[in-house]
Amino acid sequence: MIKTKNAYLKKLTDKIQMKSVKIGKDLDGSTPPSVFIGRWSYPKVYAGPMMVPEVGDTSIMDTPELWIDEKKTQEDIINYRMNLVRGKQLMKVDELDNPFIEKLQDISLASKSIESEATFKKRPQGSLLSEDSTPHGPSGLIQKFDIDAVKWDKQLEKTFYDTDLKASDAVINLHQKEVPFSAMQKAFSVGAIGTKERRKLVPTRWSITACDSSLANILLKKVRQYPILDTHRVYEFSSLNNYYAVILLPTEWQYEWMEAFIKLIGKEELIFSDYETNEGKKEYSSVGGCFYTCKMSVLDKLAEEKKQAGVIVLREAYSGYVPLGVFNVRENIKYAMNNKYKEFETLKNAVEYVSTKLKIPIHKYIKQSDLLDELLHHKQTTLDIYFKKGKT
Amino acid sequence: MFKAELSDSNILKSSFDAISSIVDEVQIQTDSEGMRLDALDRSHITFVHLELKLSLFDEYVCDEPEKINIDTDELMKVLKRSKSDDRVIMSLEEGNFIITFEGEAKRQFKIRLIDMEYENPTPPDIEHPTKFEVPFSLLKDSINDIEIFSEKISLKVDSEKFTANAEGDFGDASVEYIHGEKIDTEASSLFSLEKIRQMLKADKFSDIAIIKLGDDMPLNLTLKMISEDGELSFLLAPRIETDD
Repeated sequence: MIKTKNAYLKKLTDKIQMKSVKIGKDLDGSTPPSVFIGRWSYPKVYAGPMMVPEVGDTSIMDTPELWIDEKKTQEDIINYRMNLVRGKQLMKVDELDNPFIEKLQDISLASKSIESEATFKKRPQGSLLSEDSTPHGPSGLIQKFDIDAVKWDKQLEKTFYDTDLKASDAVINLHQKEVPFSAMQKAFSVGAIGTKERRKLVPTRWSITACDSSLANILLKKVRQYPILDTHRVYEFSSLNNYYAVILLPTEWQYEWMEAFIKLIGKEELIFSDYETNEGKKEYSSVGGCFYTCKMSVLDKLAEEKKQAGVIVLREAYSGYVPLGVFNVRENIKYAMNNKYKEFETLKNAVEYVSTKLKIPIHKYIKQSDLLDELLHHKQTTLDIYFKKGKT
Repeated sequence: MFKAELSDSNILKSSFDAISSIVDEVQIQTDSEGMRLDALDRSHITFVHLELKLSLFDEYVCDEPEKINIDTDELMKVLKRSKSDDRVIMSLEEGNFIITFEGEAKRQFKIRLIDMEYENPTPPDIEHPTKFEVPFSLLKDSINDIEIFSEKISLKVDSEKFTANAEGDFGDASVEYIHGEKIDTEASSLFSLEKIRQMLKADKFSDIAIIKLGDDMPLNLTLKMISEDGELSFLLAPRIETDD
């Protein structure tokens, strides 16, 4: 019996064989721009650029924000990723004045693809497809690494030079200036953001959740001040073998994430879920980074609309689905929230509607859930009937 | 002119610890009889009422009624800086609420007043079938016991005892207290534990809590100073079962 989502997805990704690009010891090409910081042996980490053996505009390969928009298929995405060659060197996370790291910072702040040349110790091999990262192609220790002159993105450049600006403030600024998430996250991971003494290398996986959750926290603070939605709404989106439904409720902020993996390995149907009440959540989510990614994306829309709501998200992943990283959740939710929504009088009606779209019977979700179950069976009343006179 | 001096800063600190977790902005009204505030939270689930009478203050001057609109978080930030043996002096000056702590040193804070239209909610008269007293500390302990298993709490009273209990997915908890009062009916309602926790942050206001309870009715919790110079009370809307 598989207990955790992580263990399940690991079992799935272990089974999948990926064909990655074959290259020699020398690589002449470009970086999209892209960097990768591993987390193994932290606080010493394998850090380095990701490169492709082609020149020109290769930015699409590491810009998840473009994938759904340009109707890329799962195969296209895997193909991009398997072409990305990861060069690495073992670095201490605070070695920011090392020339190699300075090059990585250069790459992360770049506004477009950069021509690059690398010599590896041995021919890069293998590939990475894991339960919790965006996949990439072969990797190898890098001996020599050069990049062309770089033009920095204006916003990122400003942030880089502002060494008094706290990382969380920087992240929300960049978000408001519409800098793509993937770009700010790269800058964050190479220690190019934040107050001077706190800058350091941050493993890619951690930097994604750090950016997602600090954005989510700031957005939530705003959303708590906004009036509560007056009806139930359902937003939906499907792509890359996934279906997403976001139910907004006329309540104070509360949030539950539920995801089902259907027959990805065999005949299994698994549902995982996690939630937070209005008071928030102390421990790291049992379902991992997607909890924060989804929270951030929904809050982004609520903040834009200046509305507060409770949120229930249901996601199904179908046969053929391959874990591609949390960008998948971020982008799908973003699309869902920008789609037209359907309105419902009651939560029951909203849930009934969503149940017609789901493959797993809704009662199984309700059984697995905490918040949804509670909301369907109990209702927080208000004092309105006692204060009617005071209202105009 | 408005000026009010308290020898015990804990009264304010304790009250606003609870108030600031419930409402973002309040209007404190002052007149020749004292200070009071009435506020309803954004989602209309909790109502809070605070009254500090003239007799509570060491010095109290209020020539004409004032309305002090203030951000409760900002006020709480300042009140947190008080030491327990500090005296506290409140006054108004050109759009600022001035708080002065006098202890070893004299420390002064100015909090900007908010410019807002504010309609004070009038506390409603709700007839509850039961009324009884429980020690505040017992109430607080019960919440800590209950929250192990659940996020909602059922409060029940009958002729003998007051019971707080919760049923969670992983276990149940229940706390019983013999109230020793004359109650000839039963009443019970369900509440959000989170909301009750917010109210109970006011733990230095009074040792005794007066509870009024009905069936699926708002909880009325009143903290009264023994001297009757001050009162902090709450109304909390219940949760109700919606099963068909």
